[in-house]
Amino acid sequence: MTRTRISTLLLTLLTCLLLTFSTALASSVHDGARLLKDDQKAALEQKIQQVEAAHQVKIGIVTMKSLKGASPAQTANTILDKQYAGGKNGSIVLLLAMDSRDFHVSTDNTMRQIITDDGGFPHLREAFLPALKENHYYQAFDTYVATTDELLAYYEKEGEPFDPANQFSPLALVIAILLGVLAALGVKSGLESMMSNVAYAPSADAYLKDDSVDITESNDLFLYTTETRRPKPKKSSSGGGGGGSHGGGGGKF
Amino acid sequence: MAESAVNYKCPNCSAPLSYQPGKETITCEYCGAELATKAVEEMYAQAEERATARAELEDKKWETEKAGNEWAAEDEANLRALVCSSCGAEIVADMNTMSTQCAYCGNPTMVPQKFSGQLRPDYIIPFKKTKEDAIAALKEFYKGKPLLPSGFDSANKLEQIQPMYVPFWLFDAKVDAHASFHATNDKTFETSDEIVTITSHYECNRAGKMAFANIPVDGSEKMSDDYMESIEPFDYAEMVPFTQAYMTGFLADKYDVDAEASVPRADKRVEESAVGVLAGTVTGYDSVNCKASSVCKEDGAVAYAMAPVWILTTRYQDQPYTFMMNGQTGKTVGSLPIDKKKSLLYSLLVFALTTPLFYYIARYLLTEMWEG
Repeated sequence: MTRTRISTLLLTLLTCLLLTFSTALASSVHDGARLLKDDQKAALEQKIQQVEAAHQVKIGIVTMKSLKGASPAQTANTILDKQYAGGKNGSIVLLLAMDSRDFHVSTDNTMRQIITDDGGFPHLREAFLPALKENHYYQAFDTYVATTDELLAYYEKEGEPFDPANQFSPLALVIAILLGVLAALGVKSGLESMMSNVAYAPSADAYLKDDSVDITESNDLFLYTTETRRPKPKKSSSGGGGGGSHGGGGGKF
Repeated sequence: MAESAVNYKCPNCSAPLSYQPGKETITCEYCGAELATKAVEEMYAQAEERATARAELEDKKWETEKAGNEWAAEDEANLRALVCSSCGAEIVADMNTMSTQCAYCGNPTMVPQKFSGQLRPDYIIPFKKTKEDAIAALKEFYKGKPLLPSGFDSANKLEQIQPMYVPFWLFDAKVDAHASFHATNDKTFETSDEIVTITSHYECNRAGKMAFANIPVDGSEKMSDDYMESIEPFDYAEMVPFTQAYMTGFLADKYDVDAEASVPRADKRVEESAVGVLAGTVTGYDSVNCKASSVCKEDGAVAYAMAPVWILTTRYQDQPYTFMMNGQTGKTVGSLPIDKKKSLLYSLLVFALTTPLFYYIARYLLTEMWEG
């Protein structure tokens, strides 16, 4: 209980702090952790403005040195609601906390219909996370903006949110071709084997006299045991947002 | 596979074991398997005991010399040999049976010669199936073969239908068999981050006695062994002591592979079956592999018999195709030509139908895996 109270208190303090610096946060990029050079920040701002104008959305990038124990999801959701709310077609914000190396993408319920938690968010995450892990922050943020633009454009063009399960997969095609060739060869072999029933008889089972079998020794001896260990398939450290009023998801980088 | 000596080897990897009496466990220096000393001692004590017992067992020989009889003079006088001037095949017929062409190569010139130098069969299985049965069976054999060339059934010409008594050596045996199996059982459980499989290894020894009756091995060089083994089995309940009366109207092949030369094939089939019978008693394990086996005959008799076979020869696009039918049971065997275009068409059809299906399954599984 005490921990929960402390977290709530910290979150309240953090929210107050964020509200205090609301003017600074009004821009699309708030680089509290000082990860970007001025020209990089300006380039990102410009790019975000273009995407926002093209799709009638609000896009935010916020970096912080520390969350001071607060939850990345709650903090990102609060920032979204306070500073980036009101996008006609939805809002999205990417939050980075440098001490804990947490990232979290928060979407409002309108944006969540376009960048879904199960489809669009994993695609977005896989796009920017590799650069983030390499500490290439500008590249990661640029990719985040570009991919968001791409997902928004996809929705406008197709009339449905992006779902990787519906996308063309070259790897799946290669696997399918290999399996298709194997299936074709299997059927070919099966059909060809039907054309001949000539084969050597491997055994003399048909000539074993009924009731002639007398088992005179039957002895089972335990010898030893061997042990094999396989690691369990691990679930990704990055997760979706689940239910509630916000979408998106986060993890470690 | 034969067991005659005992070697102290790791049952897991077959490397030599450094056996130290007094210690409770032995660890294989090569594979690391930890073995209970008591189990190893028991295993080798049993192996030694078995090796001694097997060494005392004598593998009796087949009594091949007792197969067949001498012909009576009047029987021999009523038979003649017909030799093909083209392929050299030598077949036997009684004086009343004419053979217009060779059953093997179709050559129309069969030169009559005096019959001699052959054993008289002990038994004969009379023909039950007629020429009409053989033709009908062949037509039936063509059915349900998607790769059969379209014109094969109508265009091919049945060139020759010959009933032939084929010489068979029938092997009877009582055997004493032993086999040693390596069996395993797996138990799997999960920890928080691993899947652990514990495999228990066992040595399973089985021994038993069993008897086989009338294992046929054909005695004709010209009759393909695979064809003859494919038309098995014959119903021996209808086998009767040989009399020349059954020869009337039929041809008979002369044996040119004697009983002694047929022994290895009979031995192989007996051993395969005997080990199979013992393997069938090793139950309750996830995997069973035969490590060693030995099969000793306690008794081995051989008889000489004639078995009925219809030989049907057809020709399609200048290629001869031979089919054989068991003259007693009607079982028909043969190899049909394959239409390469049809084969390709079916393969492409399967590829075209299955690839999209595999694609959607693979894409779904890959998506699940990546989101995992």
